[in-house]
Amino acid sequence: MKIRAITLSDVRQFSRPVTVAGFDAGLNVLSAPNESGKSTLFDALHAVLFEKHGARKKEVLALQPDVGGAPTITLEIELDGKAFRIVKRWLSKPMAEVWQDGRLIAKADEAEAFIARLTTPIDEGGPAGLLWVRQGLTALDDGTDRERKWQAAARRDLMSSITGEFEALTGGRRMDRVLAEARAALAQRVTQRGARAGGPLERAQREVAEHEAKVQELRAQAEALSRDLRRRAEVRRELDLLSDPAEAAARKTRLEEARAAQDAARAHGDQLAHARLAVQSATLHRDRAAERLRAFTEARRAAHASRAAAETAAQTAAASAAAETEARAALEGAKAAAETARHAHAEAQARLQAVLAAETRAATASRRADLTRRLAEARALEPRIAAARTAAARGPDAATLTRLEQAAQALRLAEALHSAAAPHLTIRYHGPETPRARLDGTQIPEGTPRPILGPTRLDLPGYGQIEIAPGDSDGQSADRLAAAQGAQAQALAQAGADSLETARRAAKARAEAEALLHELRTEMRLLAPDGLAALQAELEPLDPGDEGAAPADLPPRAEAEAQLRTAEARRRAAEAEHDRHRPLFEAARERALRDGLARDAAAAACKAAANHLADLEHAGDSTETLSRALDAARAQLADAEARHDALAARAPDMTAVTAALTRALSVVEAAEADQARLNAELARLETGIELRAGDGVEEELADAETRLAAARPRLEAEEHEVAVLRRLVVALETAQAQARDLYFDPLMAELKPMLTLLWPGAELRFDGDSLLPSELVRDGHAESLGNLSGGTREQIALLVRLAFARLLARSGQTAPPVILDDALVFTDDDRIERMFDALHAQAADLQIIVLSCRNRAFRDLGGRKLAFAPASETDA
Amino acid sequence: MTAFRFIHSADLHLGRRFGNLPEEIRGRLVEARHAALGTLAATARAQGAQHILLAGDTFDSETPTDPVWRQALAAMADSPAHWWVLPGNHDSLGAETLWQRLAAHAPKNVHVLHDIDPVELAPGAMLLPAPLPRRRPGRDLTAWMPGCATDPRALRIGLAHGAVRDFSEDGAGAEGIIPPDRAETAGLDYLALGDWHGQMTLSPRCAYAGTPEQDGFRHAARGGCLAVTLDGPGAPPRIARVETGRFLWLDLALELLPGLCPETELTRLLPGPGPARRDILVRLQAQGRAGLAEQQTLRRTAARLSPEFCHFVLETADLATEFDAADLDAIDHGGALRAAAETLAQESRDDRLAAADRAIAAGALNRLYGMLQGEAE
Repeated sequence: MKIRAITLSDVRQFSRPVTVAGFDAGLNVLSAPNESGKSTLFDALHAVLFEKHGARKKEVLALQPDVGGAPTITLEIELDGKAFRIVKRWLSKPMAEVWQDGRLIAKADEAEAFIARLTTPIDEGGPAGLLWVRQGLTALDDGTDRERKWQAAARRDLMSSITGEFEALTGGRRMDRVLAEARAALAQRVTQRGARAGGPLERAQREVAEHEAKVQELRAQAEALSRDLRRRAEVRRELDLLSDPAEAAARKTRLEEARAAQDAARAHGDQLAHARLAVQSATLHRDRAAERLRAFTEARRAAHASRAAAETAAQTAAASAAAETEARAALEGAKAAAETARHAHAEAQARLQAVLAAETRAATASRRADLTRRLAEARALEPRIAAARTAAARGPDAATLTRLEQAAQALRLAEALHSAAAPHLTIRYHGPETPRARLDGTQIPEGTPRPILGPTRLDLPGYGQIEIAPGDSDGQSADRLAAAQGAQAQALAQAGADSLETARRAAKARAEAEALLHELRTEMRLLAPDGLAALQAELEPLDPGDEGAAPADLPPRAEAEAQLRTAEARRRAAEAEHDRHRPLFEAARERALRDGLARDAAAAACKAAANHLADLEHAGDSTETLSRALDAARAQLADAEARHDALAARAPDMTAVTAALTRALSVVEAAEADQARLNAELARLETGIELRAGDGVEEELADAETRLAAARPRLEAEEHEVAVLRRLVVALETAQAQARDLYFDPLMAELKPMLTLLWPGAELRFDGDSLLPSELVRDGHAESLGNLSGGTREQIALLVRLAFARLLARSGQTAPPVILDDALVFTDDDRIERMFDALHAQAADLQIIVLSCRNRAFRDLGGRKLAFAPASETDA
Repeated sequence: MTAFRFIHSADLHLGRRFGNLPEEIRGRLVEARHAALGTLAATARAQGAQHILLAGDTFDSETPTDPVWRQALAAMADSPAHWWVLPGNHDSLGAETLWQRLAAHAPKNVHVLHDIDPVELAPGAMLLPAPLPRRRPGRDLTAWMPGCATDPRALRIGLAHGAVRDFSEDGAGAEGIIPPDRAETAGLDYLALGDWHGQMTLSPRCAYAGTPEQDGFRHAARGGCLAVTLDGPGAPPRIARVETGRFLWLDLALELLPGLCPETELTRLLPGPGPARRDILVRLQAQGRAGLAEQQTLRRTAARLSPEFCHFVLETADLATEFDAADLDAIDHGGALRAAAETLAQESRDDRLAAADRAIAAGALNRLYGMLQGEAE
């Protein structure tokens, strides 16, 4: 159904009929100020569709103007491509009519039945309750309880017609009850952090843990007791063994045997020591006999050898003495030759010294003559330099002259300017004969202008004198002239000249004097670079007495030097020869000395060896007697060693004997110590066992193990129960969520594009009871609708209404248009633009009528603009 | 010679505490074990026997508490019969303190058999004991019996504790196995054995007496003892079983299949109703397969019946869940509940998942079914 026009007559403020016409199929906007009749229009649409013409209820009475009258409403609609007109009047002469193409097709109740077929009444869950937004009721659950109920029914009917019963899909109360029961059973056992304290699972866990701890503790106690029991048995066995008389007697016998063995071993050791001493004594005796034989043999050999050596040494000493004599003679000859060469060399040196001394004296005389000359010339230069210096100090220097030249130039310029500024006198003579006038006594040539620079006297021959006083026609030039003159006078005074020419000459003379001074000083520096005093000081040491005449027989220096070199070479050769003979002589002398000593020593040794052999022979030693004595000593040693070896072979192992005795002793002592220790340990064990045996540790352990064995299956059963309940809860929640998603899928399909316009990626979650959004999910974060701003809530409400309207349109049901009376009051300007986009998008297959008092904000909404207009008679 | 009669018992395990069972029944079970001494004495009296042979494990541990052994001695002293006590593996001779105390405090009619020496029970009746020196001796302690000469006119009665096969009550392994033909090889008129808690006759001359009061689900009968009569050397013994136990431990396997009514099957399996159930302990192991409704019925029936018994435990770990479309319809015909049920059903059958995960899914499905059925009721 699409509305095309509506006319109100005698409806509230419209006592005169007004029409709103030109409704379009899509978006229609009636933007008008407050109290212009928008809400009246809303109520009129409501009344014509849902209030019977015979009704007199408050909604109808509210339509009547204050001045009275019968509210009459004419509604033009289009239905299935056909145009109908519905006319209703209430209160006075109530009527209802339906017209088609100018033909009345139904009236009264038939007309009401026609209208009722257009849409289900609001109070019966009709969609208008869902799609019409009255002013001030922008939220989805605004309005009275009845209105909310109607709207909920409308939503439920609509959704059920599309996706089925919500309850049936999501399981309804049965699902809720089962889920609650499963969650409760699970919650009894676990929390988010683990087993719930005091719950069955935690009790089972605690039970197992306690039993495990108990078992562990009892097992340790039982093991300790068992250990003690075993140990007690061992201790008793050990004590029995220790206290056994046979064992004790055996230990004593072993000790006595060990002691006897040690005594026997010691006695044998003494015998062995004696045998070892006998061997050592025989060894010494044999060594002495062998030594005596060796000494005698050696004495004989030494006597023979020393005699031969003495003879050889005597021969060698004689040869060495002869060689020494010969070497000495050679050395003396070389020494004399060297002395001769040294003398010749000394003479050559003296000769060369004399030549050199003569040369030195000649050079000194030459130097003295030169210094004397330069001193005399320098002294002659001194007065000339002083005169030139004086001349160079007179007259103006170059700078003074330059300043003077500049002053003269300035004066000339000033004079020229002054002359140019002065009146000029030019005389033209009548002829050559005319007497020449004189200016200040000077004849004035013809035709030459002469300036009159000051009081001037002009002599005119034949006329007398003319005195000219030119006055001060140009004071400036005169001042400049006077200044220039003053400057020149000052410059001349500084130059010490009375005129420029004088100054120039004086300056020239000064320059020439300076040049001369420079030249003289240069000459002086050549003669005496370091001054006259230095020259004098250099001259004074040169003694004129050294300049004696040289001997006349001196050879030339080159010759003297050659002679010296020859003498030196000869001296060196003679000295080398002398040096060569000296070690030869020394060696010969040393060899002769040494050989002489050797000869003497050999003779002494020969004598001593002969004496030693004579002494031995005198004592009766001979090779035969000594050899016999050695053989006897050797035999004695062999006997001693044989005795010793025999004893050593039979000797007992003293270490083993001692160890055996030590062990036997320790066994006896250890047995006594062990008995004492074991008795103490046994007493301790007996006490401990006696204390613990009656506690029934093993009974307790067996009981604890049994309890633990029983508790573990209980824990496993509880863990299985938790797993089962968790799985059940997850299965139920998943199925319920999927069913819910399935249920709201069509609605979400309509909503999604519009939500995206405002919040990209956002989703709405719906409540299964109210079928209204409960949460807005943005960026994965869910926000309860109640926590959102008023603007956001009304935007969501409007979008949800539009989505329901789209669903309605798609369901094939006859749907009234969407009417929004100031539905966006909290929405800001930016968001409202996007809401306009949403409205346009939805208006493609819906008729949307927007009523607003916000002219400016809704100016850009677009859509068909509507307005109240006076109705024509036909409309009425 | 007149016939010689004695009571053969073993494995009293005095002091056992039954920590695996609920607190409220432990006291009854412990007390029943102590009462077994009185029952044995009464049995001896009734059978005309003067001697009671205890073939090991009279005490559950080597260090029983003072009340346990003192009250045991007191109970034995209260009987005119002679008690011949053989140390077993639980109370071996290694428990020196225990046996020292018993020796110090035992009345005249209580004889502790410390040594491997023949003992005269009565004129013309020699007892050849094989006490255990420690918990696991690792050898056959009866090996000495064939070489032990006794008066050929006297009866030869062997008394030993241990396994005759490659297992024992404690599952201790094959060490020290007693040859099953030891009675014959040792010329014994009777070999009284202990260790196996159930009664078992190994040969005409050799038997396990079993425990007089059962302590577990292993042996499906009340405890008892043997009254043995020896008419003379070489004569075959006459062995009579006498029931002495109070508590019956039943380990029942309930085989279920889809279609079988769990309540009917369970009722058929359990002993009939009555006060006797108070002294019966039941471990019911459900096996096979059952649908959701059948499992629900099983649990409800077990819950209803269990208070009648001393102890009742239902184990369903080996019971597979089987379900069909009707079971799922019972949950819901559609919607989220049905979707959840189908997900869990699919998981419980998915071979790609671990068995534990499949079991969890089946459990969750069972639980869902049970919750919704509870709602229906």
